[in-house]
Amino acid sequence: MTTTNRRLTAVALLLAAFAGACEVTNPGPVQDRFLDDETSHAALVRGAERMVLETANFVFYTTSIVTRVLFPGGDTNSHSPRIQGGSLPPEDVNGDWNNVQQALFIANSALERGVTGENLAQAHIWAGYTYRILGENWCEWLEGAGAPQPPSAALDNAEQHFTAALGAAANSTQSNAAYAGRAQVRVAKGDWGGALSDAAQVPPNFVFEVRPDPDFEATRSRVGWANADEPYRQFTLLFTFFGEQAPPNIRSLLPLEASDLPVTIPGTGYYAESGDPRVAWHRIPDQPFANASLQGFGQVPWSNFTWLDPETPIHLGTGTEMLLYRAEGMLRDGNYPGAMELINQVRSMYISDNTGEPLAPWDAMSLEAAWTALKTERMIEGLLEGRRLVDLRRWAADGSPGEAPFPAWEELSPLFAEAPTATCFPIAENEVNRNPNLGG
Amino acid sequence: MQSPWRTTLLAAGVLALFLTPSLEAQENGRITGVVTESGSGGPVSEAQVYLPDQALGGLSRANGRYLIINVPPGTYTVRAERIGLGSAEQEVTVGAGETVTADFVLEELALGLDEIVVTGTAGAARRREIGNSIAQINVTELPDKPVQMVDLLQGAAPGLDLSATGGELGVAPAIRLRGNSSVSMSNNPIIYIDGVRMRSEPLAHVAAPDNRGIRGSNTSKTPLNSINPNDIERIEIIKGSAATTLYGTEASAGVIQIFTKRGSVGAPQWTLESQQGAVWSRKFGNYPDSPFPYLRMEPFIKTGHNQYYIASVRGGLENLQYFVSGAFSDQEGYLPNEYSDEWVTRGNFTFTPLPNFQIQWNTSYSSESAQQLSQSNAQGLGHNVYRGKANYFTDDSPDVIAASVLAFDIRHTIDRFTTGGTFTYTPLADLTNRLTIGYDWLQQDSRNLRPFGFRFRPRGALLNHHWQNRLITFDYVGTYSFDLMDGLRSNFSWGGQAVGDDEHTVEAWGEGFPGAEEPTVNSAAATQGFEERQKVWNAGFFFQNVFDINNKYFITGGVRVDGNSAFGEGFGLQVYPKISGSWVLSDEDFWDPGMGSLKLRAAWGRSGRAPGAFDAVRTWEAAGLNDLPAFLPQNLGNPDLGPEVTTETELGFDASFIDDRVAIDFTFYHQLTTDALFAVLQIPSNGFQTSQLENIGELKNEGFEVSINTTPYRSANYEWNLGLNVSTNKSEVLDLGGAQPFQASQGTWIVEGEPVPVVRDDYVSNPDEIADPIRERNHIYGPNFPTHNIGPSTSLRLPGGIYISAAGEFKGGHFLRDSNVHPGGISRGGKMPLCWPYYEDKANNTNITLLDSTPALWRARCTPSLIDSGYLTWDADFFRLRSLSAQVPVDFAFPDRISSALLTLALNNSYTWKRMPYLDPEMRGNQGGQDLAQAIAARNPTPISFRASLRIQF
Repeated sequence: MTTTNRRLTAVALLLAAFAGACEVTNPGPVQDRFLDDETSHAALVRGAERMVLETANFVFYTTSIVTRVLFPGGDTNSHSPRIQGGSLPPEDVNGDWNNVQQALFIANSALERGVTGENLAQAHIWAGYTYRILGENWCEWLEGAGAPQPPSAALDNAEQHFTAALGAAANSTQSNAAYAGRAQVRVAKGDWGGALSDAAQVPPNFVFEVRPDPDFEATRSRVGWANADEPYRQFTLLFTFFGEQAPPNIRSLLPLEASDLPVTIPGTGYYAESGDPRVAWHRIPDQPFANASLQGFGQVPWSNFTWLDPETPIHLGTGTEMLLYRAEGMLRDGNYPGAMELINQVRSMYISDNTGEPLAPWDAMSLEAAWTALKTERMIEGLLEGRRLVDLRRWAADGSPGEAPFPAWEELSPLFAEAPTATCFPIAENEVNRNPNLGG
Repeated sequence: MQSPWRTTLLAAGVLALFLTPSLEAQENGRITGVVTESGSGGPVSEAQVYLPDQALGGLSRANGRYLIINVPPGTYTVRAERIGLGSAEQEVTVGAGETVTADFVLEELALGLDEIVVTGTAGAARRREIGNSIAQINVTELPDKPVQMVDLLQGAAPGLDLSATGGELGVAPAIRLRGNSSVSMSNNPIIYIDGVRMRSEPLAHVAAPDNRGIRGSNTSKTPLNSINPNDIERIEIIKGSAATTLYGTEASAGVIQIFTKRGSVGAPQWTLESQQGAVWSRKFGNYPDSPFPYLRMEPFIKTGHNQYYIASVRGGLENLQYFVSGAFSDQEGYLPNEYSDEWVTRGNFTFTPLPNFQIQWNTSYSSESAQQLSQSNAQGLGHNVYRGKANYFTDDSPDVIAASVLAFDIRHTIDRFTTGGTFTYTPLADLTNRLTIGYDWLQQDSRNLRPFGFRFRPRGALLNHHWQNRLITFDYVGTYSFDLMDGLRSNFSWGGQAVGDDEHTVEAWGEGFPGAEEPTVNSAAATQGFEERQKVWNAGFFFQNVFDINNKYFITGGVRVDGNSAFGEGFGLQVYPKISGSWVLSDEDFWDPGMGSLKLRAAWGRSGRAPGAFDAVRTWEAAGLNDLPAFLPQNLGNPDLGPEVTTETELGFDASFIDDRVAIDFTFYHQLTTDALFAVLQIPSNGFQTSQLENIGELKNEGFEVSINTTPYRSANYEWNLGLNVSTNKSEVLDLGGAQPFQASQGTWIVEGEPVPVVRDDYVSNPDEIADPIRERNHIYGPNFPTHNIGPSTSLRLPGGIYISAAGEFKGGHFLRDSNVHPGGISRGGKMPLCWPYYEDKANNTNITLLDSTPALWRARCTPSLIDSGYLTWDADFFRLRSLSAQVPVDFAFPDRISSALLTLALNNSYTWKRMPYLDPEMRGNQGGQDLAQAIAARNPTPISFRASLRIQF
């Protein structure tokens, strides 16, 4: 070997050693190709479950505020003043949109990677529930950076996934979850025949839920956390259907001091009257107010649900909801006695905190009264389950009779009067700004 | 592990004993005298006076006096020298038992063209050879050395900007050299100490996982405060790619190199110093009609006491010299729950076993125990105080707030061990080899405890956060000088460098304690563990040649080739070239020496910045759900990812006039960053929602830097110096590469044609109208970082060695949003003093009704449903008197054995002028300089401080 060759070899070896020195494998993040391995599929499908949980977590809380099931306390950690007032501007709903899109992406990614068996059915179920949430709650939607589509397209996709899940179901939990989801979708689409058929398949005591994981802050129930005084006290039950009603002189008392707090007026407020454990609430003397103030109102007297905490599971589909669908189907056929029987069957499943007996049945002497009972019962039974926004919208659309409880709060704060109350979510600003199909 | 500092101290002590020359033999003599500066005749301290051929020497004291003992009878050459001044030699003859006087007069070298600098050059070079700007801070010369490194760097050189991030102790500032040249990667310069790479990024941010990112102090500690400013001899700063090419992929934000003191030949010379001081807050709530000058923080603000003690000794024999030091500081902040106790030790040894072989081995160890206040979060002090009754417990009583928040206990123990050696082998007169190996180990062990019964977490929660960073440096450079022809000399250099950066975090988290005892994580009902590990290697080699033509014209060309473990598949080795030239015009025959000195220079070069370790790869996060594994999308990945490359052109001159009484250093720079890494926000409906780095952008950065130092008057007893540093920086996003404008951080944006970053936010287009506000979205306010910095300074030397100095700093041209001080309170329905003039009923604490006469802008600012941070965007220009100090020699109060005693009184940050009417422009939140942008946060302003110190030397 000549001297020149030896030098070139030395330089080559030096460069090779140098390049080798830069090779580093860092632990931690999982490379994408690893997910093609079948052993990863269960965890991938569970990723979809987690994001469905996070989606429901935020969307159901937000819709509870907008539909006046919860009275806002002024704290802005979860909701802007605009949302507290009832509107859903695109710039304030980025988190809800991001979550629902990621849930959709993971479920579809799992299906594209060829998951099989129980994982296949479960992936379809998560995809189905995600499309259901999109179709029920968004004014228009899209996926994969595509163009906007009407809610009905999301509902169609949901229906297909639930049907596929039924074909692949490995156990009764999966099939019941798929039937319940498909019934919800069909109701939203107005396919009452199909919906009632599916609803009939679900046992009354069936509950399909996602469970928060206390180890992960993002999965903790937001509404549970907001309720828990750790440290948030973001909403109150005062002025709601369930809680204490405002005394007649409430305006003259504003802003409230602790001594002005309205005392419980016997016989007012649904919980005081019924003892319904589904809406049980109380007041903690040491914490008279929610942890901020509301514009034009001041500090908000605080009361919270006794049963709700950050680890409370979130229901996605239940047998009791199916009973109420069946009741609504009867009302649509004019059979209000039959409907009341089913509504009261649901009520009889709960023991009153006042009497220790099953809840007293609703009475309805007319079709309209029965509709009112149904609408009220759906609000109670579907409390914090993301059912109310779609219910209000479809009832408004079909002009069904009866009153859906919707407290008038406009007098209490200009927040409730400044913007029209939203009936659905817009596509979020994050998507609008970046998606070329939306001019982004 | 065996405590490294103990080992260091023990070794240093033993060596000091061995190296201490024996008692002066009766037959030997002494050399003594005074070192003065030629122009003024004033004393020169810390000049090295030594016998080059003997192991004898000493340092001059503050009064300029030096003493060399134990000199055998004979005739010697004695040399005196100090950085920034010329050297002088004298021949003396010492008789047995005789004391000979030899006074030295050193000339001030305004330009120091023959001074050696090493940063940014291969090996070492004289200033005259260098075509780029290089700032040098001669720390030895500074009359008043601060306790903290960040204070030392504040306004120390044109183009160097330190943006303080609140008034808490030890918080990392944002350090910028010539502004932001990157949107997505760090803009902090890399830092070397004695040739060893040390961590320059802030330490890990410690926040509990129950709300990752915000449950804690929301600050990061600075890595710089483990360095004792009194150990530093000088600092060299190169600011852009024209100068940093040889540092390669990680250097486009500039390089700061710190040189610590080395031993000196001669008897041990001791320095002892004691400082006592206090810190307090300035008023920042100067609202009209408001009773809250400190925005309701009044009950919590106190005067913090600080103390600081230093001891050092230096000396040595001909072949082995040492510098050993130790310092202890005990500091309190002006808010509760804030203290820092820190030890810093150092041992520097120079060993010359052979005439052509030298080993310089430097080691330091520091240990800090600190407590921090919970801030800028719902469980922190600021949020709950500033917002009044709209806080998180709707109670503004100080007792309630204190009981609720101050139990949050955040403590850190920070240890750092930095050691490294430089081996210099000169086999031939023209051939030099230098090898540096170094190791920088930094550990932060933190406890973030909310005890049982804590207001916001009644069952309690504890995070143990253990973070380590190790940096390993290998650096070799060889230089061979030879004459190509008469008058043309070539200095050829070659070398290689590898830096390994290994960082890991292990956390243990527990919540739900059984009672109020002192808990550990395993006392908790529920526990979790977290781990992150990340290693990056960057390695490269370079070649450089300097052509020296008649010692007047210098042309330097070089190239660096780099590899980095974070580069994607599509990139291999990166090549960074450079070329520069300098012309010492004043050495030309036609130049009249009476005109002074002038050097023209020009430089062009490239350097880069690597992406993060995981940025190139598509990854999923292995998360979990109810004790079972779950995957979530994490990083989209980009296999073509590579470094962003900054190309810089520098033009400038160094000049001195009027008998060196006026010195000017002027530089114009233009930086162009191509393949700029933009964190492009993904379309949410594509599934990956985090940003993905892409090499798509193009950025420009340009400005000028001027440093003027003048001596309007000097005489033997009096001297008056005036200095002025001026720098400008204009940045612009030239090309977004097809990406949409995107949010940077702190509500700032990256927008084509606008500064990097720009404050863009909501705006009221009818501000003064008595009407409802008209909201304009995406209004461009202006740059987020200062576009011009002006640093005036002056000093006055009076008879008796009394020295008075002052330095200030103006920063302007930038805008800051109030991200959460007022918006947070107002949107939560709180009554904020800002809006006092417009509330209909000021007395009522909660009823928010504005006067009908309220202008539109104030309606937007003060109405909970309308408030937006954009409406509270301020022009952030300010001037701060950074230091005002007086030094008085007090030798007379001490026995003769003490050769120098100096009393220093210093007042820092005592005066502020600011354009923003409320709050303070340094009341910022950016979690310790990591973010690209800054905004006003619920923190506290930089404190005013007073120090009195006594320094004695013997």
